[in-house]
Amino acid sequence: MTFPAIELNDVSFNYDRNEALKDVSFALKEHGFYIFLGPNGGGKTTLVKLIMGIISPKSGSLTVHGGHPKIRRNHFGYIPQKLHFDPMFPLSLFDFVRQGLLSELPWHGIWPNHTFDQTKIILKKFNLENLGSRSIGELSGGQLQRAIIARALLSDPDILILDEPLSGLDHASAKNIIRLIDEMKGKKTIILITHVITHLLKKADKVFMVEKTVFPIKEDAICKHMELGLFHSEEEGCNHE
Amino acid sequence: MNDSFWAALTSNPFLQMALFAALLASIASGVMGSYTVAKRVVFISGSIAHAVLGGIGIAIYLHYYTLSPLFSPLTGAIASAFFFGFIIGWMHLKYKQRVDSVIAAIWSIGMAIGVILISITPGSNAELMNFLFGNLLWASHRELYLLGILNIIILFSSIILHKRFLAICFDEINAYLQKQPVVFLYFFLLSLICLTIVILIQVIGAILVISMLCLPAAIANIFTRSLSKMIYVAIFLSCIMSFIGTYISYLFNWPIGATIALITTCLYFLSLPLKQVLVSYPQKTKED
Repeated sequence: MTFPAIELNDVSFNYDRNEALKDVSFALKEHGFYIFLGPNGGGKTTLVKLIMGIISPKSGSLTVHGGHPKIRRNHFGYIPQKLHFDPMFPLSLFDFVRQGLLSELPWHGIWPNHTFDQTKIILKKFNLENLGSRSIGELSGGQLQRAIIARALLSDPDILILDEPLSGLDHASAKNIIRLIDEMKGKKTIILITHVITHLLKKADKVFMVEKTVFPIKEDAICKHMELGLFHSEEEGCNHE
Repeated sequence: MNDSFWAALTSNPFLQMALFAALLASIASGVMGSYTVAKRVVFISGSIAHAVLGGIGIAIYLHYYTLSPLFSPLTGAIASAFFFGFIIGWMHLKYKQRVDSVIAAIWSIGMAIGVILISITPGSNAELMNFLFGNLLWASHRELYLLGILNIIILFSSIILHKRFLAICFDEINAYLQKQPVVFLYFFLLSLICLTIVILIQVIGAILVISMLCLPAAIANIFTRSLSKMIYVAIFLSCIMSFIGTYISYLFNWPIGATIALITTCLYFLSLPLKQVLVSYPQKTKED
């Protein structure tokens, strides 16, 4: 029996008295590409936290590959919009990327040899092999973004979550993300969370709107939402004839 | 160096024990101070260090009236460090950014209870001064053994868990997704910081504990790019500062704890421009 990659049934969540998400139900097939679109404050971050098991639903059920999200949490590769850290943090790029294999660290805390080789291979793939000893705070925005993607992919996760990956990016960095999606499409379940309309919508298997609840949405309806000013387009998006 | 200092060091058991205790404390402070700086929990540590006085006050008060050996300033300090550490840690995890007031409240209530109970316990005002400002010359053999055991616990734990501590200090979400017990690691790290604070209070006193815990690590942070190197440098600096502090305090008859804190702080302020010079020097020579 094959389970959906992610399945939510009547999931609700609230912060104290503020309802963040209500009666959310959907199922995502394995290896599909899904976009969750919605305005700021619509519940996108809450949805990501629920899916990754960081928070638990107040009601309803949520499974990842048929199991509890907390147990399956190493199935995720998470690529945040920005990593908030102290630029003085004493961590080299190599050690940062190797943290993508932390689940393979034995109890005694000595890295197995293969983690060194795997990290070197992925650094080379992302053109970072000469920067391994550089401090994480000294990297440029583009280098850091590639390092974050490398870390997320290092353990070869089944599900990739890209959280607002296109916000505030320069052209080259946005291209990295688009190339990543093209490369991974059909091989991994990809979830892209965004509040901006991009031409990636055309590549998605399904687009969902997140606005206190979650529902599938078609392109013409997206344009209508945009006209209402709920979110804006960064790319060509809708044609207004 | 002053000959009489070396003569005293070889003949005076009080000075020997004081220096030995300071060096033991330097190891603990170098290790846990680095995590404290990296995790940015300096103010949490400051709050625990001051609140510990509450536990010390309760222990001194109860010991006076029960004469039970269970109640000693050290057991009071350890118990209250864990108690307040867990309260602050729990609040920090639950409310993240909004714990400043709680930290201040715990800081105040601990000190207030301590000062009141110690002042109403007959004959214990000297102990209040020792714990506020430290008094290494009072270190007994029993206390040295205990400091040694606490050091072994801290070193062993941090050797085994170093990479996991590093992970939760840098990015808790990634550590969680990599199946690490983030909450357990956070509280365990906080417990080790609490133990270190108790050790340092013996050396430098509650008021100055933060300087010895964080400043050697903060200096090391300026010149290193990895957490493990930062720890080695912090231990080295802490030992050197303790030794120089003990020497100067002997020379001028100053209190040891305050002298160590003063020297460490001066070195910290010197290291900031020194880093700028070191960064700009290679660039200038390249341009030339």
